[in-house]
Amino acid sequence: SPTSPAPIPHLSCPNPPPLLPQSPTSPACGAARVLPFHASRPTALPTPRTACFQSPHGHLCAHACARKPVATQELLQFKEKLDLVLSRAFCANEQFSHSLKEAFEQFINIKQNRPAELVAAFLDSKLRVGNKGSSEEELEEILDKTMTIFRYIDGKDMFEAFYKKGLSKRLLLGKSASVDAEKSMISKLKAECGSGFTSKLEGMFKDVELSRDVMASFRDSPQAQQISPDVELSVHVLTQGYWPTYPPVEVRLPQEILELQEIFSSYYMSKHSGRRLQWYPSLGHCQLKAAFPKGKKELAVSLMQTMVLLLFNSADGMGFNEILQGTGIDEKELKVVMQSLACGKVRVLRKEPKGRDVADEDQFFFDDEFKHQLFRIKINSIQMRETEQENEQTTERVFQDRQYQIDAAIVRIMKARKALSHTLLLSELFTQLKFPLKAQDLKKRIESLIDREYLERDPAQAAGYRYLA
Amino acid sequence: MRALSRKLSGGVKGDSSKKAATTPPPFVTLFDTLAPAESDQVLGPDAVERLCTDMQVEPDNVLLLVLAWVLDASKMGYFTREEWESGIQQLGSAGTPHALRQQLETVHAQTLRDIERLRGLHKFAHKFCREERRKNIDVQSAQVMLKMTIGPLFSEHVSNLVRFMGEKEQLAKAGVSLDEWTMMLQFCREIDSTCSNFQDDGAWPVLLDDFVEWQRSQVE
Repeated sequence: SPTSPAPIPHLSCPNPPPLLPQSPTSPACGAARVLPFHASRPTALPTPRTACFQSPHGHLCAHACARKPVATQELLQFKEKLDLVLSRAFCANEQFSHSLKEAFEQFINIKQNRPAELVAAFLDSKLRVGNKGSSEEELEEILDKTMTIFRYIDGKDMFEAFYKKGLSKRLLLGKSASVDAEKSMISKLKAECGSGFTSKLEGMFKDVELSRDVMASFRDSPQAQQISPDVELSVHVLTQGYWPTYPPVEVRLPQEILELQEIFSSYYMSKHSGRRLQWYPSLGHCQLKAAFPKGKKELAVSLMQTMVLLLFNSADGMGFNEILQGTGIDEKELKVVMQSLACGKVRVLRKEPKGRDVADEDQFFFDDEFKHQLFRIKINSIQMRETEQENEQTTERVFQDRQYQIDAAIVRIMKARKALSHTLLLSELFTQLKFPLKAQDLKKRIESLIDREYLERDPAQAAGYRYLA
Repeated sequence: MRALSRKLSGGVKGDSSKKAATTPPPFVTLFDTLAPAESDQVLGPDAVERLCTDMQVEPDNVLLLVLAWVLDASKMGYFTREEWESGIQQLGSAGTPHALRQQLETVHAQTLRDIERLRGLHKFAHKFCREERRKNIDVQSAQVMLKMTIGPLFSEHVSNLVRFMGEKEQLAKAGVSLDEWTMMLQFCREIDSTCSNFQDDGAWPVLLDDFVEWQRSQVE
């Protein structure tokens, strides 16, 4: 088969669709030039065909992906164009289609883990309230198209971890645009990857539904009668294991909130004595009724923000350190909270000295001049955001989890086979484990297991291992 | 004082009505010669240093390692009487530092010719350098010991490995594991000086993959 990109005979197709805006300096021009192709020569395809899809545009796109979720939109459009080119210019030729798939898979996974994170973020932005202008059908179409990209992602466990984080926030903060769209997405994932993949996600939905029932019975319970009528409590009870892992946070909750927790706990434990409840303050949010001189307001705030604001019930002004002491919130986190209350668009507190950054010496005051056109004001958008740190933690956790899976697989295989050559062990692992693997990573785990005396190098065969009972 | 106690033990020897005392092998007597008066049961760093002087070797000479290995000593710089006496079979006739040195040289030469024994010495060196409760040995110890145990046989590989270990940052933190250590010996035996027969995707520890990569980059 010819290997050089020889001049290709012109196609009878009059208007080949352009791959990209044709600018003389754009490296993608090279791809557009290959387009005209003789339809009657389907078997003798020149080998550079994979190159024309893979690079330079493929690499160009991969770099764009690293920046923000918007790029996933670009990716979807790019994929559509490729499919169009395939069907129109290359008559959906099977060989070409196959190499297109390979090339696409390769380029999507160049920056490992980022595609998973970005596609999950893209879906989150579409499934969240405030997603402007997509009708039900449009949304459905977007979800379907996203699935075509999802198929190429190596390491779907990484996607699951990020998707779960987004879903968790949408469910707990009531930010899902449409329950139907959410469920539709889950069924698409289930159809693609099997029920094992989506069982935890489905569990999350169940927990939310069950919590509604729990709250209904709670409100009728004797324990609930102890709650003052101007306080409304709502609790989501989450089954650990379905939901993302949240680090436990130690804070000094106000007395009022501790009492509410006690009341609910005693009710819940009376119904489920074998269970253990752990509270997660970082996931809590509140509607605070605030009496400003210029008008009463209802503020939608996070629990952390609430803790800070309640302190101002007993003092008009406080220093940062005082607030730090009073709430027990981690210093870095507290600075973000204070910024959200005193330095953003909506400022319920006044900071002195003025400025965007919060310093230890800053003083905060209840803003008695506060006014806003709306009665209900949302100030808890910080909760919906994923920080860079959170994303790193999520990625780390998936890597850790993969390590455990690799270790477990090695031990399982070696226990069954007793002795196995290095090559065979590795090939078994590549078959059994469903995420991207490098031989080096596997070797490191093998060495760790040798160190922990699960295995030894087999004295009877070069480059082999033996299980140690 | 010591001379007197020796004479006394010699005196007891002839008294058959008390114990069936046989002459202790010269090697055991050597222990008494070396032992400080205060504690008869252990030879400490001072005594060991004196032994080196008497044997006319430097304290970092391989023969000390060989001695420790034969005696399966548990702590560097110390020999207990019990450990010492376990060496009777191999070193029993050495009653003076000079004789001991000759015996050790013989043992060392034998070890270099016998792969099983060499493995034993090499493995012992790792154990000997391990600090309490740590599984790995630090880079400096590894460098010194590698030169000592297998340096004479594989000088080129060893000098490269020593340099590599000094440059590899992660090693400074993690240390060298027993598996990596034992495989270094195997590496030296199997792989040629240019690493041309090294299989990148083989079962070698990752450290040695990195070493070969490093060595290849040095050549360029």
